[in-house]
Amino acid sequence: MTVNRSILKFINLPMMLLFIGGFAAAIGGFVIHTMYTSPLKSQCVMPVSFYDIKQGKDVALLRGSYRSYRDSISRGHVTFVGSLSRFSDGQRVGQPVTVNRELRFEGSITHNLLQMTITGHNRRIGDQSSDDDVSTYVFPALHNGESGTTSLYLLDGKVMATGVETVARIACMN
Amino acid sequence: MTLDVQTRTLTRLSDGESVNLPASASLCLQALVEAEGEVLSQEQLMDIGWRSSGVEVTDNSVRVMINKLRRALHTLASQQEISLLAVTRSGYRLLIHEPQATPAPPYATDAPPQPTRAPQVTLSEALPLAAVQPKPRNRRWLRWSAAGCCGVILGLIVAYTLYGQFMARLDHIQFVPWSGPGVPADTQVFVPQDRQDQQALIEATLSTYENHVISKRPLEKPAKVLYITLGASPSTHHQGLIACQQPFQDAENDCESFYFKIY
Repeated sequence: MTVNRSILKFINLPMMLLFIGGFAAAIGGFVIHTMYTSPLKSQCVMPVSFYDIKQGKDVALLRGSYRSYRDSISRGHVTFVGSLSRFSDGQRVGQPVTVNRELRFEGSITHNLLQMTITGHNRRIGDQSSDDDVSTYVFPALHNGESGTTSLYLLDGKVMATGVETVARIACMN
Repeated sequence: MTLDVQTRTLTRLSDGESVNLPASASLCLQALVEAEGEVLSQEQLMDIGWRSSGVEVTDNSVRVMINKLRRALHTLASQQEISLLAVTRSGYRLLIHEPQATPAPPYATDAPPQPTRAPQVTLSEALPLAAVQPKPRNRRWLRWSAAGCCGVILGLIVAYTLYGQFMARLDHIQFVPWSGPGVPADTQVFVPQDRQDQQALIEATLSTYENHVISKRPLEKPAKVLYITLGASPSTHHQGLIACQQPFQDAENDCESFYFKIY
């Protein structure tokens, strides 16, 4: 045992270890509690229908599901699987176009704002869509380096949703 | 037994018999008592007894000092209760022996048993001997508990601070039931609590949903609950709702989100 005759003699190894242990236990407990109670999910399934209606008769309908995945603290990816159909005067124009795309991003969350920067984008098997259609209807920010923001909401204290600054548009179902 | 570190006097409490110690012996005995049975090395004893006063000594000085301490304990007839042991290649340790419990004689009377008093070496500075209290042995546990509690409290403060700075704080939207024209049959409609006044936009959204979804999807099971999503703008160019088979649940909801962009 070391006898320290300085003014700090009351600081010894067991006390320091207990202090560090208590500190680590508090941080760890808080992190686990937050993980179990946070409404943020590591995966989200979001069925959507987006109607683009012009003159009341020309309609573009994107129908499918977004799926978002958190890959690490700051990285994630989103997929969209669905179809794009066009109608005029109630009649289908052409065949539905299969959309199967994936977007990778780096992101950070500040308060309720998810800020994303695109790091990768690719077609997946079966995709027939054009980049113009995808950037118009599916992923507004599509190319590497482009960035965008999404607001996060909690509906009725139960369901997470994303949207623009003042409106929640798409709800997470799982 | 009491060691007065001011006068460097080791005193037997039972009869007041005392022995004066050299300064180095007094300092080293104080350190050995505080070590509570742990071994102190020769180097530590040299630091405590001499080098702290700027005096350089040899191993032999420590041995001489230990002999003086043993002689003092012998003089006070305390060598049976208090042992100053040399630990090979380590140093020295002070052991205070607990008294052996004396078995009660078979002819013991009803007289209450006399408590046995453990031998103690206490340290005093300027206090009179009568006022000296023995050092509580559980004080160490109190210090350790306090250290653990301080760590927990500081950890929680840091965690809450980081949580407030970096974790997401989702905007909460509460929905309330809404009734009015355009509500589909057998359907409940909910609107955001703070947007109930946007009557025109709510009705327009229900109309769009009726015209483009319900009437165009006759084979699909109609939604039972509609949550109309409204922003600050009353413009009818952007409409949206979330159509569900049941009110929101914590998980596994059966809903589809609709967004209508109208030119």
